[in-house]
Amino acid sequence: MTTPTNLPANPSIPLSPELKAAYQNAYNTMQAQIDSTMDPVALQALNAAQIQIQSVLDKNDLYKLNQNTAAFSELQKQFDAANKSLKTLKAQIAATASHFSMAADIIAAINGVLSLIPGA
Amino acid sequence: MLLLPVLLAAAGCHSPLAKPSTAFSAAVAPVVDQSAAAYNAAVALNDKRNDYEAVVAYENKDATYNPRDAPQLLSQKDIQTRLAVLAGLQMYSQSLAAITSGTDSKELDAASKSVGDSLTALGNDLAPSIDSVLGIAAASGSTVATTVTTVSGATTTATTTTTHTPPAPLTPSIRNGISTAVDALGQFLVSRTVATDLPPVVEQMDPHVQALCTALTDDIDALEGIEERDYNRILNLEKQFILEDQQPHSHVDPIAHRAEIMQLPELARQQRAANDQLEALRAAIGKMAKAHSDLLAVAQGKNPEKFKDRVSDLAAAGTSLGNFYKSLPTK
Repeated sequence: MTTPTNLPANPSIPLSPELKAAYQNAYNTMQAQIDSTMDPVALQALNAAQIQIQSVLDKNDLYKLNQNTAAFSELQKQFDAANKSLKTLKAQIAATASHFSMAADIIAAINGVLSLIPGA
Repeated sequence: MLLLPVLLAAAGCHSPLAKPSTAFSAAVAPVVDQSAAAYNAAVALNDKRNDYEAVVAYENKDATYNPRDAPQLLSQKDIQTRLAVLAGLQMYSQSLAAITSGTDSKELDAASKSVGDSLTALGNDLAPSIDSVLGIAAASGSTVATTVTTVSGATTTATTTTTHTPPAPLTPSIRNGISTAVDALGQFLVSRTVATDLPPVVEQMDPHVQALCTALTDDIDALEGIEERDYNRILNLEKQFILEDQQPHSHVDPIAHRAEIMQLPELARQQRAANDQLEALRAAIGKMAKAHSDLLAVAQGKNPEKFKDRVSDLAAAGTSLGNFYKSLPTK
């Protein structure tokens, strides 16, 4: 089955913005015709024709999704690196609290030693 | 109590990045939740449409049709790749929020209280040092000399005894002052670390967060187109099946026929709801991008509200330390 109108059945993907707009326009025109008919014969023909246009538009959007998968993979590396930096920063902050805890331990130890010295 | 106000003023305790970091983290949550739902919904719808295509293929006796060759919108690997990035984004935003609000940490409070308690245990011996180092007035001891004069005939004898009263142990008030001062010092040190090390991370990540927003928006554009056409295709085929069933040669159960017709409005409602969800996701992504830009502006010191924020941060720090002080035992 050929694609209705003068649009190519198997255009190269991705579509140029102009060609995409032409396919979208053809699709919308057919959808309006489908919505307005109650004739099963006409409807079957319109459905058969519209799916050809839909197939091209779907391929174009699937191409974009696949391209994006590669972009997401690259972004994953960046977020991993940032999260590693933030983990280090968190550890530095936690160390501040632990240093104070250590000070408390040292003071407690000094207190322990003083208690052993008579008169101290 | 000289040191405490000095530390408070120096620390500014709550990072100015805290508010925009929390706002960014809040903006990320709906994007992560709604994105995962959007991908799964689009795949489920596309699978449903493929089920309809199977009916068409069999009715047309299309020998080339093979259900195993049915196209897949997004593979599990494709979805997982996206969800992994979103999980990384969520961890990034939550870490930012945790770090920027982390100056007021329970661990630091506990350690500060512990220091105060340990100093109290040393009591009198360290009191003068505490007095000079922290500027906190410790109770001093006293020495009382008592002279007793005894007259026996022409002889007068004076006997002097010295009684030393040790300084009172550190009072709870002083101990709490020590703990609070130590807490303020800790908050200052943490704030300094955050102020120095966090802005470069935010700056470095901003182009990647914006790129992620662009990629997500591109995904939505594609999904929106595919979903609209999938719903249209299902509705169009349902309409075709219903009209074919109404032909004179058809012997369809009237109840089943009516039930099939009644599916159409529900499908149309689902189509509108799906479109609304994608539009809400698009808006959430826009907010997320702006929230990170706002965070970057504060990190780079470009926020005109910075001074106002610093004043309110200082007030918040005072409240925070006041709350910490009040939480300490008074006996």
